[in-house]
Amino acid sequence: MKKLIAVDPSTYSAIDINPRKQPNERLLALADYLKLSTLDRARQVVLLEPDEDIDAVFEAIGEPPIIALNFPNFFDGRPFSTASILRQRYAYEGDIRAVGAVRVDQLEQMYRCGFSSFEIDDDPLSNTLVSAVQFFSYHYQSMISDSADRHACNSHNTAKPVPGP
Amino acid sequence: MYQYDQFDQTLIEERTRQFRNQTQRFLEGKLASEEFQQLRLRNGLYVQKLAPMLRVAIPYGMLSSNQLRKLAHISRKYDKGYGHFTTRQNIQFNWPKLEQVPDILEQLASVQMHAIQTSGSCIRNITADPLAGVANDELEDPRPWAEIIRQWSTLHPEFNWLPRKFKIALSGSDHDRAAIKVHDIGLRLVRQQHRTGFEVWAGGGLGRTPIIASKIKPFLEKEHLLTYLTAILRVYNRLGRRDNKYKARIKILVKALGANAFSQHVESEWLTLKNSPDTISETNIDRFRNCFSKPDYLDLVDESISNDDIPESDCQLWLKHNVLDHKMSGYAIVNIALKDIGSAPGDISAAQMDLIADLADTYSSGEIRVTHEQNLVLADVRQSDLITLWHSLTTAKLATANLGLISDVICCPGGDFCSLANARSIPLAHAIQSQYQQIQEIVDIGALDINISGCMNACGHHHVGNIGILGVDKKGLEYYQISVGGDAGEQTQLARILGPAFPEQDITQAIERLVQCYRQSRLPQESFIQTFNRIGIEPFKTAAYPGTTA
Repeated sequence: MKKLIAVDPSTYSAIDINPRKQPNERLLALADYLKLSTLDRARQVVLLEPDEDIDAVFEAIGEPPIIALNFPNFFDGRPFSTASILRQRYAYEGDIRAVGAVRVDQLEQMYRCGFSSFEIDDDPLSNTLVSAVQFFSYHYQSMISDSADRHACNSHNTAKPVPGP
Repeated sequence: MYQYDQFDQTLIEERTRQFRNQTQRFLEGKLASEEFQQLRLRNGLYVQKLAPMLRVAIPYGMLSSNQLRKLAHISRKYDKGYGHFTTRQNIQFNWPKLEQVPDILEQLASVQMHAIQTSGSCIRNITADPLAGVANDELEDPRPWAEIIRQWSTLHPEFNWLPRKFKIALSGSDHDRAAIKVHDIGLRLVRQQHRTGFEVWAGGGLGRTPIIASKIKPFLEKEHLLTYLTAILRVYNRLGRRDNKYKARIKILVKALGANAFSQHVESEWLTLKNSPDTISETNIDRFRNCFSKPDYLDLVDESISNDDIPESDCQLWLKHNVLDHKMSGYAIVNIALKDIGSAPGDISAAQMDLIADLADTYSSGEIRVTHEQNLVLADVRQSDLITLWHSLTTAKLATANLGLISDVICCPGGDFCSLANARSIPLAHAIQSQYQQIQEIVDIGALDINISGCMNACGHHHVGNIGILGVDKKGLEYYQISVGGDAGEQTQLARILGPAFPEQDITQAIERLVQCYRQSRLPQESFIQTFNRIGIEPFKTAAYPGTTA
C-alpha cells in the first residue's frame, strides 16, 4: 500500500494528504496525457519518466497543477535534476510529486530539490521515518527549498569555531 | 588547516546519527540489503572478501597530528593496528566490524573527520596538490578552493545518485601534482589580467577505458566555480549512461558528445545557474583563504649541508631524494615513504602513525599531508632539524630513501583484500622492491614510477605508471599485463600495452629487461620516461619478449 504525503514548508513536517483531492485522479504517461483535452487534463496528473527531456516537454504540458516524476528504481538520480530545473529554470510553482521507488531515506534530498509531495510505502516504519524530511540542521548548498539561515556557507561568518582538529 | 565551526560539526554529527539509524535498521532486518548497500557505500563502507572495509576521507590529503593520532587509536581499537593510505589521499581500515562502524564514525567526528561520500555513485573526496601552500612554483594555494568544493559537494541533494562515481582534482601550480587530467573534473588555478580563475578540464579517467580529459573552459571566473560545477554535474546526471556501469562515467559522455558539444551543453545549463545563490562572495572567499593562513615561519636562511657533515650514506640519499625545496628559505619539505620492503605500499602501523604525529608537532607545523603516491609529507621542516628528523624516521623504518625511484611502488590492495581484483598486487610490489634493494642501482636507474592495479578498476593508476602492471585472470590463474610510457605528471600520457600478459614468476625478470633496455638506450641525464618518449615502445617490446619478433 502506498500513501501520499506532503511537506508543510512552514514547519518542515510531513503531512498526510490522503485521500487524494480528486477521486478520479490518475497518473498518466506523457503520451496519453498529451492526447487529453484541456478540461480532462485538469483532472489527471502527468507522469514523466526520467529520460524525458523536461526542456522539450514543459511547454507542451502547459503548466499543470501537479507534475509527477517517476523513480524507476531508488538509485536513478535523474528526477532530482528534473525537479531542480522545474523550480529554478521554469519557476514552476505547482506540486512536484515523487512516485515509484521513493525511499524515506531520500525524502530530504527530494524535498530540497523541489519535490513537494511523495508517494511512500504506508507501513509503520515509513510513518515513523518521514520526519527525515528535515534531518539535517544545516546544509552547504543553496537549493530552492532551503532557507538561507540554514546555509552553512553563508552563515560561517557568524559561527563559533570548534576547537581542534 | 581548515577548522570546523559549529555548522560543520553539527552536520557530521548528524550524518553519523543518520548512519547509525540506517545500520541498526539493516541489522534488525528493517532495511533491504540492496538499499543498505547503496546507503553504506555513500558513507565509505564496502563489504570486502574478508571483512567490511571503511574508507575515511582525508580532504585534499590534509591531516592534523591529532587526527593522525585518532586514526592510530581507531586502528588499534577497531581494527588490526594498521591502516592503508590510498592513491586518492584517503585511508582505509580493512577489518572493522559492521556494527562498530557508527562508533568509529563518532570517534572520527570528534576530530572533524568523516567517511561521507568516499564511495558510491556520488561526488567523492576532493583531491589536490599535496604540496599546496609550500611549493615554490605555486600560483595560488588551492586548498581554500578545495574546501569550498568539499563543502558544496557534501550531501549535495541533487548529485547523490549519479550514474557513477565522480572525482574532482585541483591544482594551484603549473606543475600538476594532482593528476587533474585523469579526473572526471580537473581544475587548475590560472590568472588572466590579474584575476584568478580556473581552467576547467572534464572527462578524464582511468579504469577500463582510460581517457585524458578535455579542456572545456579556458577561464572560469573564481566566483562562478560552484555554479559552473553544478552545470557540469547536472548535464552528467541527466545525460550520463545508466544502462551499463562500464559506460557510465562522464568520460564516456564527453567522448560520445565530443568535447565541444559537451561544453555547449554545460554553458547552456550554466546560463540559468550563473549568479544564482551558490555564487561565492568575496567575503566568503577571504574567509576560506584565512583558514589556510601560513604558519609563523621564522626568518631563516638556507643551510648548506655538506656531505662531510653526514657520515651515513643513507642519510645523504634521503636528503637527496626525499627532501624537496620549500618556498621559504631555511625550510624544507620532507617526504616519508611508506614503501618499506615487507609491508604493503601505503600501509602504516598504529605506532608509526603516533610517531609521525609527534614528529609533525616537533619538527613541522603539526600537519601531515597524504600524497596520491601513498606517501606522507611533513611540509614545514626547518633545514637545521633535517638530520635529527632522519634519525627518528630511520628507527621507525620510515626513512626509505626511494621517493620517485623504482622501489617507490604505487599499488592497490589487490586480491589479498579486494573482492573486485583479478590478481594480487601486494606480493608483486614486494617482489619488485626485493629485486631493487641495492641503493646505488636504484639511484642509477633514477626516476621511475611503477603502478600496480589488481583489476581494470585501476585503483593503482597503472595507466599513468612509467611502467604499469595490471592483474588479469587467465583461466583462474593470475597473470599480469605490462604497459610502458604512462606519465601522471605535467605531460599526462597513458601507458601503452607491451604485449601478452606474464605469469607472476616472470614479472620481475620482465621488469628488469625493461630497465636494462632503458639503461642501454638512455642519453646522459635522461629519465626512463624521457627515453621512452624519444625512442618509442618498439625497443621495449623487443626487450620484454626476447626470442620473439614482437
